Parts: sequence; structure tokens; C-alpha cells
Amino acid sequence: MMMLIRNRSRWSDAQLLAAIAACDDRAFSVFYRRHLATIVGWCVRRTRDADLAADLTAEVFAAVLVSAARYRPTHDSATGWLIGIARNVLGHSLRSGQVDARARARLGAAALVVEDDDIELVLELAASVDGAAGLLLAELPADEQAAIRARVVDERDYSEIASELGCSELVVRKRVSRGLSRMRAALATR
Amino acid sequence: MNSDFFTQLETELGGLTRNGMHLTDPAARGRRRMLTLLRRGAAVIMLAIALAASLDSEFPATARGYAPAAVAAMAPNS
Repeated sequence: MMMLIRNRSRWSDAQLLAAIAACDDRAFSVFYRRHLATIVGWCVRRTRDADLAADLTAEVFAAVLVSAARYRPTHDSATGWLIGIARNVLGHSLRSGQVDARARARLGAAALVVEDDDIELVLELAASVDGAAGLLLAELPADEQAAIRARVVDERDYSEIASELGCSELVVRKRVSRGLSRMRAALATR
Repeated sequence: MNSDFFTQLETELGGLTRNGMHLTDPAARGRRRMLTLLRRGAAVIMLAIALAASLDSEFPATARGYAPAAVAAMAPNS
């Protein structure tokens, strides 16, 4: 199937990752461009530091390359898997007190320098993903918006959100699930 | 040439992907490097053949190693 569709931009994340594992650099480019803004946005939100976010993004994509062969698809998109990698990279960086560079070291990647102009680009990329998601979120009912912001954006526990919103965990879960389904449907129609 | 951080990153990691630097087995990495060299060698040979063919069709005499006979009007000795 993969070989039949020559246009890699139409490949699923799972197909791209399988091709990356088999040394296809064009598949890497498509995967990188597809997910760059999401990862930069995630890193900027977590660190509030554009310089650090760029460095962490570099390590996340190096780790993607190292781990591509181990990817097992659970959904159409590999975004969850990618965010998991980003979380590991950030966690290791926080514990060690310096930006994780193990994957880049393992690959023998050259160290890249973040210039002043790049800071602007980092913020633009982060704003582009926040902007798109923000627009979809703004269209949801207020109770679903609050639940998604607390759970997905701020990554808080269901129990904590439930006590804050004065409802049961089950209700919060339903609001998050319903809101995300609406966002997914809205995204599919655009 | 100046390019931004993310373009440089894409180029860098793309190159490492092509060269199989992510492969865990050193032998597989070596085979990948050998394959890349063979591909490059084959491309160079193909290019040389194409150049030689075009040279032969455009300048057949020069390509075969002798100059075309000069057509020069020689004035007869008087």
C-alpha cells in the first residue's frame, strides 16, 4: 500500500514512521512538517521559554527517529505517542537540570544554535497551533470548554477538576470526550 | 546560506535518516552506508555514460579521438 501511493503527504503517521525506520528521509520530512507546530506549541506551553522549546523540539524529533521502529499504531494519528516522547524528554531535562540530548548524541547529530530570529519563529509556530485549537475550543459549550482546558491543556487529574467544577469525575470525563468529538468533527469539515 | 533553526533541524535529521544512523545494529548501519555509496557510484557512472553518449552524438569525430578533417581551401602552388 505504502509503495502504491507515492505522495507521502497522503500517508498515515504509521506508514510514515515505518518508512522512517527503513531510512526514508522524505517520509521523515513529511512527518516532521506535519507535527512540528504541535510539538513546538506543547514545549512553549510547558516551558514558557522559546529558546528552551526549540532545543527540546530538536531532541523530540531526534527521539522520534531513534524510536520509529518501535511505534505501534493505536490511533490514526501519532500525536499522542509524540506528546509522550515530548513529556519524557521534558521530564528527563527537568530531573537532570539540562536539556536532554541523549537521542541527538546517539545519532551523532550536530548541535544547532537558536538565533534571535528563531525565537520569533518558535512563537509563530506555537501561536499557529494554539490559534487553530483555540478557535475550535471557543465554539464549544462553556462546560465542555472548561473541562477540556483543565484536562487536555493543563493536564490536571479528573478528580481535581471534578471537585473544582462541583460535579462527578464521570461528568467531567463525558464533557471532555463529547467536546473532543465535536472538535474532531469540526476539524474534519474544514 | 542562512536558514532558520527548524529548517536546519529538518535537513540534519533527514540526512541522519538517509544514512541509517538510527539503526541499532552496527552491521545494518554499515550495509546502509555501503548501499548509499553504491547508489552514488551508480549515479556517477550513469551520468558519465549519458555525457559520453551526448558528446558522441554531438561531436562524433572529437569523441572518437581525432579531429575532423579541415576543409581548407589551399591555394595551388604556382
